[in-house]
Amino acid sequence: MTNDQFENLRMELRRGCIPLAVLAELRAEQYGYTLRKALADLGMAVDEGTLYPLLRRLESQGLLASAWREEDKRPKRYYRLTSEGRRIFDRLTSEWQSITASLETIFKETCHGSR
Amino acid sequence: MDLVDRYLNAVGFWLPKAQRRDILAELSEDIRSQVEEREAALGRPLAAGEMEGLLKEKGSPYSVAGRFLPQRQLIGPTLFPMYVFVLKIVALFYAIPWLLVWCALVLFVPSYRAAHPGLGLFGTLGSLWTSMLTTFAAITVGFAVGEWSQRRSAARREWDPKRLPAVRDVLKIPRFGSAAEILIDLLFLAWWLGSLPFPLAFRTSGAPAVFGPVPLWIDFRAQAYVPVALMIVAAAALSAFALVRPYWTRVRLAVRVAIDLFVAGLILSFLGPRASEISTLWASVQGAPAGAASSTGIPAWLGLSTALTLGIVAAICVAVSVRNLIRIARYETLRARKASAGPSALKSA
Repeated sequence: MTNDQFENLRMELRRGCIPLAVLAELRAEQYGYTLRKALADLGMAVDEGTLYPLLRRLESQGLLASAWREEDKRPKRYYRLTSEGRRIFDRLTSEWQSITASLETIFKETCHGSR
Repeated sequence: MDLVDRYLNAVGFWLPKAQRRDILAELSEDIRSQVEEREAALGRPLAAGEMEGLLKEKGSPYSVAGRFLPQRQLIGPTLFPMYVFVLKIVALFYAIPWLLVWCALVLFVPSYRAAHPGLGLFGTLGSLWTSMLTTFAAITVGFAVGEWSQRRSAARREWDPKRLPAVRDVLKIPRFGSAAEILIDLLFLAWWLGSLPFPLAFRTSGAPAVFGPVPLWIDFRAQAYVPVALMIVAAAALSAFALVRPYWTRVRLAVRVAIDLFVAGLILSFLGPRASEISTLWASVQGAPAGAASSTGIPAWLGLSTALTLGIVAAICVAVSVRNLIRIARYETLRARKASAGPSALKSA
């Protein structure tokens, strides 16, 4: 049961980070599978059931743009960050840094408090 | 790749037509790229079992398709607690009284049992089942409409913190309630002792005909005259004390339980031996033409109503006693909860 609870909380924690990781990776144009592989290689594995709906959502919000292109005789959909996506990504990055800095402080205070 | 095509076809079944082709092309590319990569690593085509394992990792077609669809809820998290609350209220004030009446009919009315032999007795619960299903469905539809309209209005942002209800303290006795109880007890006592006339009149064919108490009530009053009067005085005294100290203590809860259980016992010990008399009244009412206001029908109805009223009073006394016994058992928890929810707890925090 404890493992399940940990797994649920871990998933919840990672879920919030996935859009930021996707936006970061799409500063360079990629198609779905290579993006998924790149994220997995960097320790942020995302299954396709999560990634593709997220890509669609980000595109509908105007943060990503996509185009179908044929490569190796197979159609592939390439995604890239739009200028609006770039602005949002920069703001989210600042927010992320602020959160991690706050958490660092909270962790340190908790350590001091427990002594 | 036949299995992949079948998998994609199954996913496509659940997708909206407008996006189906696009989504399936992208999923297809992802799966095929993954298959190629694995085959390249193994240096051979994937076996059937390996292909099945790969698709199984991706999840069932229904769950994969579901992630591409917008999240929909019939009743969202905002309204859901209220929805459950309303269902509980309906169950408490409709289903439970209905079941109590059914139990009373089964236990105390032999003619009812005779009219519904064997499993037919449980068949009479069918109307409860139907009406409960209809009620629950109507409430669900009502809340679904509420959810739909709430999403379209900004009303949820216009709440006023000043209108929040006060923290409920179940151990506090409202002074207004105590005062009202004293008044009701005194009026009932006056009526019970005969100082007030029996308020029952009936008009037939233009001439007023005044009915007195039915024999069942006369018998009950004769049997329980002194004990009921004493219990009313005791209940009034308890309420008067609550006016000065408006807070339940274990002792006062125990006194209240004793009074209520004594009254319930009085009523049940009176009704129990008269079950056959009540079933005769029931049979005569059932035998009478529907809606008949005959001279024999009305006293039977009144007798039956008296028995039913006494039964309901006994049931209420038992229910209130059970609630108060639970309060006695959880007394320390309830006190602690009030203490932790109060403003003093906030100040000390």
